[in-house]
Amino acid sequence: MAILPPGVSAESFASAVREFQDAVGRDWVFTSDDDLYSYRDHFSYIKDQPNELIPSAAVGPDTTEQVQAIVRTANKYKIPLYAISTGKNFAYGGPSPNVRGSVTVDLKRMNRILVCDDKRHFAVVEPGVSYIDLYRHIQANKLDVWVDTPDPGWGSLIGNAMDHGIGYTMGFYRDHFGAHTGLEVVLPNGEIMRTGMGAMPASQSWQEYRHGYGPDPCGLFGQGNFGIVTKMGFRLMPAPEHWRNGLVTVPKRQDLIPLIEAVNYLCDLSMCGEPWYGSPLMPLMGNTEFREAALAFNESAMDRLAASANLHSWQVELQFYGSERTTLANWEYAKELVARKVPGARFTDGESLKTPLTREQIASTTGPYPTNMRRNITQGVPGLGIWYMTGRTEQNPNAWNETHIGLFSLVARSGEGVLKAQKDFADVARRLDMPSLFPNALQTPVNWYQFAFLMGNGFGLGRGDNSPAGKLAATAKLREVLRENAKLGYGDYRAPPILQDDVADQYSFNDFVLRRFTEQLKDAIDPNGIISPGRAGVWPANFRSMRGGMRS
Amino acid sequence: MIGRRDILRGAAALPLVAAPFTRALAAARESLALERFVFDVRFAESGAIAEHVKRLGIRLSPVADDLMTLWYDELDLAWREKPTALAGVTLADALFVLETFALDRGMHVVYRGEHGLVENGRITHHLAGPAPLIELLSPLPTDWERALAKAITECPLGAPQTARAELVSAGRELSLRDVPLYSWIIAPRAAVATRVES
Repeated sequence: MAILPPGVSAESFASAVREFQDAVGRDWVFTSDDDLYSYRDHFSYIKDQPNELIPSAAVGPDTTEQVQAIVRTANKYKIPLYAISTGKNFAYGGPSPNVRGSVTVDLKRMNRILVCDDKRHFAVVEPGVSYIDLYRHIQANKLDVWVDTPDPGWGSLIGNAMDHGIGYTMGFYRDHFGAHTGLEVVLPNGEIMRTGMGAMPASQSWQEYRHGYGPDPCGLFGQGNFGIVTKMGFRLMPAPEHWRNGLVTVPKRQDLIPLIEAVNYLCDLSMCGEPWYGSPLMPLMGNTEFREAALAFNESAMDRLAASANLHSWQVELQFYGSERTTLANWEYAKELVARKVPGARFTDGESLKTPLTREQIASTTGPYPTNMRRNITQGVPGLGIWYMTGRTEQNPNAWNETHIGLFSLVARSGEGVLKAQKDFADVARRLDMPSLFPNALQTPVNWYQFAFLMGNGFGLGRGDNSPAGKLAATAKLREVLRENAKLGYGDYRAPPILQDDVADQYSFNDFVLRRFTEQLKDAIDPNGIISPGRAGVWPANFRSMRGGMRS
Repeated sequence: MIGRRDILRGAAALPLVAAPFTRALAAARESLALERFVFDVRFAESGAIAEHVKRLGIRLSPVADDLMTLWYDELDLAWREKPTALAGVTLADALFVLETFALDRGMHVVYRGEHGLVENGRITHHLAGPAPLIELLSPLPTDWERALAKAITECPLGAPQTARAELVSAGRELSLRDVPLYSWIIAPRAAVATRVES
């Protein structure tokens, strides 16, 4: 036993381990270094450091009743627990807990698909079910529904939703927590609670009206630490008959404003799936004159140089799901709408294919135009190819394999908002001496959440120095970025444990009343503070002195 | 379903010391049986190693940038039944993905070699794994791909002592890669108990 939970004696811990073994069987309690290897975050910025966030033990329950027993034991010995589903959320800390020495509750064995209904369009799963598992189940049973998968697709539906993860098909389904249909949770006192219509014992419609009656506490469990979710329902998109895509480009920088207005309109009428923005001017960043204009945000010079290169400033790929006729009608309408708003806009028909796409069609990179959209994820097909980002390749010449962290900030969902954020992020990068071309004047938002834009602004920090000291310096720089962003009104939506306090600090309205409210609830519901203390910056009273501890 | 602990229990029954057979017979019996060899089709060296491995009678699985087909169609299904050993020469990302899946199924990486870029006609290799396997590769001959292919098919069973080595070999003039390659062996913990870390 290499480490102990904080404040727990070796004797107490040994007793707790015995009780965990009684609950789940000796085979499913892990304490050796070898067994615990897989519960480390192998991309951690503090790997092998004295404060690396590693567990003291891991417990693998197979049933909700076993989860209850684990929680009761943890209460008895005041041992912090950290629940993971598949533990593969590697951009955000992987399986590592917020508190070193926590006991990891590994829910992989709870991998049952309880319901998958392709007439009412939902599934109910346990935490160990991955997107790949559900996809396989749908294929094997020839069900007429799709999964909305994140990338890569090896993660858990529940785990991804619990961290506010996203996907790539139609707007409603891309918000994985937003698309949940109710949950079952083991509370910190060991009781089982069901939300929404699940609170009604004989309900016929648990997955169809998630609000139930009265206050709906579900939001407390997303990025929260109020219980361990053991079942969760998700809405599934009916399998469309047809898919089509198309490319829109607009000539000038300021054209981004009406372009986004038009696309927002289409999205919010559910006429298209995820739009994918980009700039055709990226190749010009190799041109000294253009790069200098872009770094200086000299818009007239950028427009002039773009025109002389016969390139447009912005593009958006649109995708349409439905029947052959409705997808065509929506694409034709999109063209009409954008043409009305943006003089000089160009349109390129993409592909028009009957679904499900064949593997060859999914793998195809040929098409009417070079595409940035990965075909599998737009088709609800889980993939693993995104891992190219962790290896140095032609696409990714500056290896990120040692510095894999994602920081994405919310920006206003408008062209004005994006253009302002570009400048703001670039100013922050300049002030903090960030050694990267990004952020810059060509950066575009991602529209994973239908009603929100996110823009990455922390990726380039660690590219230079992968030594432990270099990683610590990069982490400190990320904290500065978060502080500067907050001053400008940009908050982040996810973070690994080492940065969760820093992100939580961004949300400081009225002297942190939101955090005070949440922690008041936390203390009432989890008086021993055993469930994931510190997650998302919510610290129970007995661990509150640890707030900000990762900064030292 | 086979659980992690079932695999751990199995390990205890394995002989950790070579039986008194002839060296050849002992090698045959003590070597890890590889179910397949995974190789990245985009690089000359991995292709060359795969050719040698194929001649040794081991099934090949070519991959490029997405392991989903290999995982979905083959490994996931096979590993649900029982863990099976495999080796390969790929980029780091493919190794990470397979290692992560393997850890969930009672397996781990028991040998790992990083093969650097060709610089001035030479390649530096950083190897870590069972000492007998590393010894087979020290020193590396000019035809290092053939030697590596043979060595990784002779991974000892049990709990061999781990060794590390930095070796230099000649590099292929036509190597176009600008990224390190990784050779590796993933084995059930019951078969080879000694894990190596990156």
